[in-house]
Amino acid sequence: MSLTFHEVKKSFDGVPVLQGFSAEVPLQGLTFVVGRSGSGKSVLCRAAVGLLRLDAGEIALDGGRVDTLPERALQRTREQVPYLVQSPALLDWLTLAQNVALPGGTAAEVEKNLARVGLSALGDKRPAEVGPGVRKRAAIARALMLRPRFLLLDEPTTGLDREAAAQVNATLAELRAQGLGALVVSHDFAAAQTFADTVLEVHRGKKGYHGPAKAFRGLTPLGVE
Amino acid sequence: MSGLLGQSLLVLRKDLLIEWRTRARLNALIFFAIATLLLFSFALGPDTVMMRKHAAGYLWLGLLFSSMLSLGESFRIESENLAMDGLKLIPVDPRAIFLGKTMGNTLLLWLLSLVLLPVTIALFDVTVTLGWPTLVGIFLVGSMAISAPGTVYAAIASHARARDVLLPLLLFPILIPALLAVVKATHLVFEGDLMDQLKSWMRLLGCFAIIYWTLGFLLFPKVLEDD
Ligand SMILES: Nc1ncnc2c1ncn2[C@@H]1O[C@H](COP(=O)(O)OP(=O)(O)OP(=O)(O)O)[C@@H](O)[C@H]1O
Ligand SMILES: [Mg+2]
Repeated sequence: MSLTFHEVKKSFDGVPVLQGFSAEVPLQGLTFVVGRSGSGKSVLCRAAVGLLRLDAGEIALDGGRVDTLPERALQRTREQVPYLVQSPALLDWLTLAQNVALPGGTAAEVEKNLARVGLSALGDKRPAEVGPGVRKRAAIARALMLRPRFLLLDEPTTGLDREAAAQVNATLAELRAQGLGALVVSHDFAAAQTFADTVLEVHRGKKGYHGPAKAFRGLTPLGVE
Repeated sequence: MSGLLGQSLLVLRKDLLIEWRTRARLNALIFFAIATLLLFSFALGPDTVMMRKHAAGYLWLGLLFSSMLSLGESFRIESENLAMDGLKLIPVDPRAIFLGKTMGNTLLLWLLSLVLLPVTIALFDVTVTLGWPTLVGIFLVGSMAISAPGTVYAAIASHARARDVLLPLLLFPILIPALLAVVKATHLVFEGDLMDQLKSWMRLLGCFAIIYWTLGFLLFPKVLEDD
């Protein structure tokens, strides 16, 4: 059970971003994806759910190609592996509970998933009335409504204060303990060492470090291939 | 999320709310449309018979030009409150995105036509011979006919660098039958329908709308690919 990238290539206006990136990400546990700004971490996530098309290479979920799926079939992929973008993804005129209910499902499920991210008490607040950390956790709760197999999170703690970031990280660790893994794009190496099982580095368009989080010692220097 | 219709209404509601929050844009659109009508009436001079005869055409040309602005915007406003990607990631059915956006564009155009109507009556000295309900109905079907291909092509053009030029280039040729039918129908409501032609023009307009709503519904998932 894995999300695999095979020889993935993608350029924008002739500028190569991914240049033959290959990696196998298990659907269990937390994999933190690190790399310099602009190295293509978000591009990897977007390609994995079909928000952009590859120039070459393959992406597969449990052996089934996702990079070639037509738009309507991608809906299913986006339910199985929800991608949480960095920017807020809540509708500001709905309450948090209503936002969580958007993918459909019963009131009981909404309750349950709000509880899973520790927001039982805040369901009837609007996004503007709570902090960015709470909004992020509400977005996670909404993704949980899809009964996902795995989560993709793009910098869930960037821009949060330390306390809010700790709560988001704790939520991810909790979900992991319940058996739901995630790929987390992050610049927070300390969190990677504390929470992640595996660190996967994007380096010069290819895979850099890929191994246990405990052994990760920082980004590969730019001069090194 | 539950049901195609529920999703479509979500998209519609989101777009209308954004439209409402950026009312200044809406006002600008209305003034642009009125200015177009004024220019047409100046260009024609004081010939009242001519003016009356061509009023329906000028009204719909004014609406068409304004719709180029509003259609183009309908994919640019995707910045706050769930961008297009946000909708895809909920995930909302791409067909619901088409329905919601097309409904929104229809409502906007319909509203605009209702605002322009009194202006047309005042400027071109026309009378609503066949009654208001018929006219308002024609405006609705006409707005629907322009909005469906308009939404599809606005989505296509939104990827292009020269989208402001591209949209009318793509759209105008396609809209010719619809424009012809809706102008004739409107004209008949103004001038009276002695030869009983209104039905056939409305049939043409209705068919056009149905065909493009269906095509848009079926093809929109393709249009949204690789955004
Ligand atoms: N749609 C696009 N059009 C053009 N260029 C793009 C597009 N998406 C990404 N890029 C470029 O691809 C490169 C990688 O972008 P990406 O967002 O994946 O970086 P990142 O690793 O996520 O960086 P960050 O840590 O800053 O989020 C950047 O140079 C960016 O400018
Ligand atoms: Mg990024």
